[in-house]
Amino acid sequence: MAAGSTVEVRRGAYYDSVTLMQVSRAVTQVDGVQAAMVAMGTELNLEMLSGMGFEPPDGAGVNDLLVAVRADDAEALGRGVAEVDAALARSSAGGSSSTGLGSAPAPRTTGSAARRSNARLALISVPGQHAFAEAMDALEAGLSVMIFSDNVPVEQEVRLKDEGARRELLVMGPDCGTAVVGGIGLGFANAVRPGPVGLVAASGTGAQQLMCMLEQSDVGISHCLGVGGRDLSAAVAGRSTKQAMAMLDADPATELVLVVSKPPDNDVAADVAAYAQTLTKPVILGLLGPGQDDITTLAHRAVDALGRDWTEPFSWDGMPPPRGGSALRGLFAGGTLCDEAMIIASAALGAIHSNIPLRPDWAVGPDLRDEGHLMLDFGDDALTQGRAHPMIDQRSRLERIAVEGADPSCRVLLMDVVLGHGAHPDPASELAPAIAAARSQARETGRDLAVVVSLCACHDDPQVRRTQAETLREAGASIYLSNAAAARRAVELVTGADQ
Amino acid sequence: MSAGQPESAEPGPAGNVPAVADISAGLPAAASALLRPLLTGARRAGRVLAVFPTAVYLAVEGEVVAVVTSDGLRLPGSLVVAASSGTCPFAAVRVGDRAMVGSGAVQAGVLRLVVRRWWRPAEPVRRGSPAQWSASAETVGRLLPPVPAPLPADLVSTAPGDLLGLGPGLTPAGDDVLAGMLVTPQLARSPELLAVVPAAATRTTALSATLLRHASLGYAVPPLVRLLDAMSGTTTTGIGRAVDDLLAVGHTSGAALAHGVVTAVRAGTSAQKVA
Amino acid sequence: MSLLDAEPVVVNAGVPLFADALADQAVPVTTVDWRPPMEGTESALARVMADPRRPEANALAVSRLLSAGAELVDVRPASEALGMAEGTFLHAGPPIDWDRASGPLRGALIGAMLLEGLAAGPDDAQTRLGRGAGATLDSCHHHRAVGPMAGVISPSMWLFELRDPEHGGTAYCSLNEGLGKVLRYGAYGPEVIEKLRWMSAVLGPLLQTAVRATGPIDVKAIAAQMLQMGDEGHNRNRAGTLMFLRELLPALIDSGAPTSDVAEAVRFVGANDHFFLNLGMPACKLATDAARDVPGSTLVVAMARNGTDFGIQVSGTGDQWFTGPANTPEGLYLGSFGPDDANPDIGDSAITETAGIGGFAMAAAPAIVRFVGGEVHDAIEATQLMYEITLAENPAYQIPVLDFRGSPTGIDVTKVVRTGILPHINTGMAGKQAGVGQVGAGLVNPPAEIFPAALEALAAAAPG
Repeated sequence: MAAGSTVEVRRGAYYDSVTLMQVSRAVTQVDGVQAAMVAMGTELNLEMLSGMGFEPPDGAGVNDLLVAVRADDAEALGRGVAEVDAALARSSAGGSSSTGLGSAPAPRTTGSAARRSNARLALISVPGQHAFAEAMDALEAGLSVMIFSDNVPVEQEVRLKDEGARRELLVMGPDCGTAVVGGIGLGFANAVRPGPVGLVAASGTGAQQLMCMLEQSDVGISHCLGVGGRDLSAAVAGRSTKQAMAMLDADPATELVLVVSKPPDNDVAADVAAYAQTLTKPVILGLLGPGQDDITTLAHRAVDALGRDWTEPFSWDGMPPPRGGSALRGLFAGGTLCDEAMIIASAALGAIHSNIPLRPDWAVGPDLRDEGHLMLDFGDDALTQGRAHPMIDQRSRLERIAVEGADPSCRVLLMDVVLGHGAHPDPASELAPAIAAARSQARETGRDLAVVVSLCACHDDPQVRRTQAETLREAGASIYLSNAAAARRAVELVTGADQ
Repeated sequence: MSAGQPESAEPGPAGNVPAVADISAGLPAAASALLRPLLTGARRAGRVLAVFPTAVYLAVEGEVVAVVTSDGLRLPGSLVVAASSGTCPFAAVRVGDRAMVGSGAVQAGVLRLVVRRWWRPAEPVRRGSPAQWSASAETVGRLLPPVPAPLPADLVSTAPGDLLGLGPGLTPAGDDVLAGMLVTPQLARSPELLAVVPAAATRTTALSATLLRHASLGYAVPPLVRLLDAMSGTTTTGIGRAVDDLLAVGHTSGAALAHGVVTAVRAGTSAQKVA
Repeated sequence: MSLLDAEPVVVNAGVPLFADALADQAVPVTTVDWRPPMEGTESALARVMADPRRPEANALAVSRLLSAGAELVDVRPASEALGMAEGTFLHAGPPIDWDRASGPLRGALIGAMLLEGLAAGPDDAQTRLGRGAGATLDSCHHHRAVGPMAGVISPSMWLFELRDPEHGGTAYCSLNEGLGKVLRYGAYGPEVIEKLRWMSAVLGPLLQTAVRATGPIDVKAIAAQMLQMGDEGHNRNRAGTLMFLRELLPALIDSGAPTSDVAEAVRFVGANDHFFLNLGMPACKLATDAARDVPGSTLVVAMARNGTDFGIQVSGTGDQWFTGPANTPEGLYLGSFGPDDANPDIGDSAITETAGIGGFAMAAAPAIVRFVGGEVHDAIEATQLMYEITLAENPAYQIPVLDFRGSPTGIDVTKVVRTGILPHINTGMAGKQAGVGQVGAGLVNPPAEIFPAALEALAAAAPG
């Protein structure tokens, strides 16, 4: 039977990446369809298209929709293309189903939506180049803003934060992945319980890890206010950090203020430390980086400061040690978790190559391959443009797990699995088969591949932590709730003797 | 974390306590942390006690669990749904319907709720000088309508036990006065007052008994907490506005709660026992 | 109230997954149906949105627009009211010369030449206009005036003179000639010229006497009432016309003029459902003129078409026009006319939409959805969509079926560019050929590109 294939460009048809991912998935599931990609025409997606063996169309722009389907035969191709239209139609149904005298059309701007509700907060995740207008609109409507979008110019960030301060509204982000306000998780957030710790976080997964570690000692969260990864840079100068600290100082539910950030600008760090002195509540500044406390230790300090008892985070190991290979490979969805693992691993192993390297000379090439120790952050801006975050869309990591399974140099695979609101509804269902397949592939070449999972999760997360842990363990992975502990275990396994 | 905040022990991933987030279908709800033992424990049977556009009350083994809309009055022990009363989320629930509470879910007739989130009920900040409280209480007193019938006009010299269960309705006015007194810092730890709380289980309605128990732990409805915080100078909200908001609660409940606050401040001041 | 004082209610713009995650936590969430802004506008949009003057400038401009009043104070010949010299002609829309003028505008100019006695006949008029000899053209908007369709004003035509008692502005508009073969639709036959002569000789002076005797007539109040009576103030002016006539009748009867003249005038006005349009338009012009020249404001203060170009002016960019090719309206045609007979969009009457009535108040006039073959809910949805691109709701102009919500008022260039929603204009359709007259009525949108062009100018004027 002759295979059929089509590549179509639909001009000016915009859909967000998550919707398109769902559409792609639905089309791939059509009987007889071999491969499908429905995505906006970004450079990255065009590359991906040719990587999938399609002929990339001429003149497709970023606002054009690419529809590529390859199927067993012409009939299956027709079914596949029909499913694209059906799935796109499903995604936009709802707003247009007005009846009778006509219901109000859906709000088209953040300000319009704000005027129709008694909202106090806007969550903005439109593409970065469009985020400023929506965020400014939200502030003008009297809403605080969380900007999930990345790739927002720093001068726009400063302008938004100054406007927010003037209006006594908080600007969280840009590039703010995580926040918890009054117990409500925004973006990627674990299901934390109410408690005394107020977090100010310039790192999304850092904050998630910290909240999960506190929960292990039964310490809850009042609020976690994200500020965006750049807030403590010289240019932004801690604008939102200081504002968030003041808000938590005034918040009756908060007893301890905990600030967590990737390595900040020195002057800004000093300024924030001086500012902390002016608050009425105790403040712990958790500045992550080489020579600093890891996140688990930071949580321990906070628990001590509250006079509570520290409970060692749970782990579930007992897997046999690895055999063959020599390198540690880390595949992360969370940048700060990747950073922390690299800091811990490089202390014992030396150079860790990465797309977010600790030292410039450890940078990995554009092919993301290296013979030695390597850790990749799949959530880095450069790898997510035009695509959903790896916490939602795991395909890039799944492919890489298979690559490592076949790579004779890989001895230990370290990876994070982040649960919580906003994340993939059942990550283990995809990761566990990939892990099992990689381990089985390694055995074919005479290796035993060790897999260590850093499971960033709370008890109440909607994915059900226990089920996720069980599924991953059945695939042969060791599970650590502490990312630092997972990294240390991975180092042990790399340097330890063969079975 | 304040006293009385229930938190369950944390089992590891290998623990065998059932997961709180039941993934079976149901309307997502946010539950008060006060309900955590009841909601995460084994399933218990109960009945639908009352249905209003903004709330459904369930009676479960002597305790009343409230289910409220996002625009409803958030009792300290309630589950909140995102829907507002305008969308009539409780339209199909009938008084007397079977209810089931536990394992992370609530069933009230045909309505099924799944607990997705926990929130901390409101409690007043304990601060403010005795002089400030006295002045605030006099301001509040001037703004209130008379003490609702059948309560005695002189509440300060009435024994707390004589107020318990006094008045008609789901929350008798006497109980509202007691609840207002219990959350006011001046009398929050008064042994005489706390002594009436256990008796409530048999001497008043189940809803009142639950509210009094929560009040004895320091928790109250948000408009009452806002009034107390305005009176102590914790917030800059005007006392007048806070009183107006509280008076909008229930038929006479808001007024009775406010009278309880004023009575507590006066009683506390006269006893020279100021917090 | 601080963000932390109560559980947040959330607006979600972007990834729907996050809205789902919030709903799953029992959080009330309002979802924005967000789409990318018009192409290539990112940097200008960011610059204008960042302009610190914008919120206050828009608040000021729109408050001036809303607070402007409109009183009819006099009726006078254009030569006297505007000081127009012989051979000058004003026209609708942005400025244009004879070479680029459309059929209906050319027809109206020919007719005006004939009316003023400046040409021996249509061919002579056309030749003279083509040579530019003895005829000077300019835009009505440059002279505080507006005119429907071709909008041609010549010195001998009589004008309504309206004053804004709040801000002191003045605005002018010609007297409406009725439907069918009329000058404003480009017709210039003898019957057209004859009617215009009667309007200047009899109707104008009679109206002048009556208005002067009655005293200032509150046109804004009539406009507010007509929206409650099924008019939207652009394509339907029936109630407004009759209310205006009611105001004037005693003074007309009492004017001392021959009763046959009074009867003819009353018959003419009463039979012309659009007579009030030429009062509503200058009332709207007063409102938008009051909002002009506020630095940093992104408010549109004029939308006007000359049959070739559609132009807008914006408060923050002074008198600059941003123009693009006018679209052809879609709607219903009179008699045997069809789409091929229609001229592109023409007239200053889009000043009504600029000020928040007309197409923006469609929901107030369900009867006119028939013009476009739509249903009542289309009219309601059309108005509701306009709230997405406007800055305010006009408390004076209320829409009964929307629970007396104020009409969507004050088009914001940034909102048009962000949403891609174009202003919704109700309009008449003129025949493409000079001299044909009206061929239909319907709906039209401005050309999209004029809004990014205005945005670029606003960005260039923004500080920093």
